[in-house]
Amino acid sequence: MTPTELKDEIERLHAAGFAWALACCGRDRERAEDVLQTSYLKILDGRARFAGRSSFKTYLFGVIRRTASEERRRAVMSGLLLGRYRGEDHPGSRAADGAAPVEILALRSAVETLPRRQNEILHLVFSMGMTLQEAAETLSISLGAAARHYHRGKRRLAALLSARSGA
Amino acid sequence: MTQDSFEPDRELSRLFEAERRADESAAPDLGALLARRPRRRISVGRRIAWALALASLVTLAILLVDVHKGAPRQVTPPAEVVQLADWESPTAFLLDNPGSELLTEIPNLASSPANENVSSPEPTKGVTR
Repeated sequence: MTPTELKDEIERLHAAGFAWALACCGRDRERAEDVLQTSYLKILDGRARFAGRSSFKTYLFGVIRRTASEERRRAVMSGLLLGRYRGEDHPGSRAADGAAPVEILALRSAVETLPRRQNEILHLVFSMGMTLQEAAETLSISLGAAARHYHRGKRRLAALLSARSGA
Repeated sequence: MTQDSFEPDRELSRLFEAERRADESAAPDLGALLARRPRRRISVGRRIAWALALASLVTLAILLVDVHKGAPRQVTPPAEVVQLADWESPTAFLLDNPGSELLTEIPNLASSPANENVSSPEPTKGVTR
């Protein structure tokens, strides 16, 4: 792909990419923007190369997920070295959550309690409309593992949401 | 496995869809995002180097403080202490009796009678005259 084509594809998927980056960064807007910028620069600089083995969306979301993981590891390392942890939760950058409808807030708080893999796969399937095969490629896991995480996550999320609505 | 088994539940799908729409509407402008200056990050290696340098400085400071504490200090005693040390009893002279200097002075062995050249008496017993 030429740089212009890459930029066009990024532009087309930018909004969805931001939603995915938010999900990967524990809904921290500031970190999500950093991760997204780093991911785009990696692609445009050629540090991350699109081989064409999957769709561009799967590839882009995979780069965003890996970049978010690197950021998280870096934050943990700096926390260990300097005695502070730049944690998942940044109340200041999550202020926009207050404007969301109650049912979305309930969904977010329930999803946050799920293990990371289940959280990611549910977002990719339900929110991004990916098939399990595409989600497995994005997360670099097997289809079987993806199906397991998906079913467990869905069952657990449904139980959490029904318990909350019943309470 | 059929495609139907992968169909998401309608309620979850609706909620996730609503969340995605809300997130997408809040997405920053792509041009501005790419144009802004990337946040300067300090690499892990550099952080380790800084942490080691800091630890060395702290260790050095502790060592210097210890050395300084261990050195003998010249402390001038307060005037009251000096006065008390110089005080002498009015009857102290009574302790000055003959031979009291032996308690305060080291005897000079050079003046010992043993070192003096004393002529021993000549033996007289068994000597034929």
